[in-house]
Amino acid sequence: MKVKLLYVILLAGFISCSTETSTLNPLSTTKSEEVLNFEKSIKSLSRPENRETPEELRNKKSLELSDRRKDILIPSALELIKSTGVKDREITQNTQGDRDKILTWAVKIYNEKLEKINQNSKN
Amino acid sequence: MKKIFTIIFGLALGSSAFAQNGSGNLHIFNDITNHKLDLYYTIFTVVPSTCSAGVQALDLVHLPPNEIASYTTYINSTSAAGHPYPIDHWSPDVLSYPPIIASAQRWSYIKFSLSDPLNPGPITPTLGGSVGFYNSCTGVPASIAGTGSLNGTNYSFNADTFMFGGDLWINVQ
Repeated sequence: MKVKLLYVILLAGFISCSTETSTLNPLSTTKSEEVLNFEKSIKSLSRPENRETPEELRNKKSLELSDRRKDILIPSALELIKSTGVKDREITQNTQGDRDKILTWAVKIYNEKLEKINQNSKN
Repeated sequence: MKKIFTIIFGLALGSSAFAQNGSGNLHIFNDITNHKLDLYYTIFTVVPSTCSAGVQALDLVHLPPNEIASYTTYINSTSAAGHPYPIDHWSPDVLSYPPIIASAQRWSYIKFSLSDPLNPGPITPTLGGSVGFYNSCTGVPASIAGTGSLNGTNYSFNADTFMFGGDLWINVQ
């Protein structure tokens, strides 16, 4: 009886480990759609229509993006935040719609996801 | 002996935790919006508090088209740390710096060039330059553009820098 029980435990452990390897690696080593869309929106800042206007250049005090250009990133930033399971209501409560808070939150998630991908590719 | 070990461990921990990403991580995009070219770059850092030069990477990093490289700290940017686009050598050797010196540094700018894997040879004039942050200290512009040609093929590029969300972003396209 004890030997049978031992076999069952070993078999369950084997199946569990096999399943973990086969399902986790492909998902975690690739970027999610939300991450890719966030990157795409960042790259879109270099498009002619999204570049700094002469007025923005005149008023520029630092390399920080203008509000107009930050707004280009907001939709994909919100999607990235929501991809972690956070609801709209929670986002509103935490950020009050402040662009910088939304972007800082999204960048934090982006960096964490990149870190996870790198960790998984190492293993 | 125990104290010495504790100090060394503390310094190592400090250097990995507080190296030069105090003003955010650095992200470099090799964007394929306009072309599919190989990007080669070296990274420079700066000490903003004194507006003085930091260190220079001795490794020339190759970033293929459509790839993104992100750097957090010196320690986490090495091949030993498993970085996909590692930098293992710096001049001076910042990896052996005491944490207090390393942590005063910030990612500053990249010196880069683009080349066409399908049309080997030097593009004339060189398709590249320097672009980055802390422009008043380094004199390096926040944005550059240029053109070049090789074997009858014309190329153009632009490189832009942005700051948002607490990080530093460079897009080369």
